[in-house]
Amino acid sequence: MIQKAFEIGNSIALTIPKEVGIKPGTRVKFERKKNKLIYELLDISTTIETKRIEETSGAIDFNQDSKSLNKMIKHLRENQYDPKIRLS
Amino acid sequence: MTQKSVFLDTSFLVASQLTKHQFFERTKELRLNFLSNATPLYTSYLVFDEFWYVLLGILRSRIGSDTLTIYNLIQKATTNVFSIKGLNLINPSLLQKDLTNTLKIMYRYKLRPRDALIVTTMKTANIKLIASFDADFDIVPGITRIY
Repeated sequence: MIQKAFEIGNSIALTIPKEVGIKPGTRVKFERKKNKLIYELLDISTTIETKRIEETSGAIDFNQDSKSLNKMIKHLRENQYDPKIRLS
Repeated sequence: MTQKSVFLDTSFLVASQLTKHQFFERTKELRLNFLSNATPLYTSYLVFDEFWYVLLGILRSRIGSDTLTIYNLIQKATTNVFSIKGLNLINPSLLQKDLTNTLKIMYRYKLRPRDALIVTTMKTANIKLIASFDADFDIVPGITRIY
């Protein structure tokens, strides 16, 4: 992955893809070795666990506001079983 | 079961698999806490009855009649749930007296039959904590809700 550094205030920034699973607040140690910038994760176990949780959450993703989603869930829970709601 | 064992309710599992659910992020925080504390987690087939029905209802309204897509999404959500570290399925053999007592729980605490059966399942397995976004459980003595 190739990125271009960009400026934020008085700093230069690069982004870390979300898929890596690092949560905001994760502590990292920075070190420069010649032309390499090395970030060492200090909360490695939490990071791995967080990534695993991310990977096993949110199987269903579509645009719907949470209020109408709540209303739909409430209706479904209170109206079991609607004969039209079948898998096939 | 240990004092800190937690039963995962339908509302928790549903919220964990719908990215737009108001408690989606909260389920991830709670799961991280459970992992950090090595909390033994339990659920039962009763929960899947409602979990599947709710997801099916939502997906039917969003996707329509593309049943293969719906099937694949529900399967993915189910696999995700089975991947929750430390999760065990419990299905205690309930006796007639347990079912009679479930009826009393339904009457006393105005619970739906399935929720009352969950309470009986928890009490039989000596689980005192439930991860749920359903406040109906708050009224039941001996059960503490985590949300």
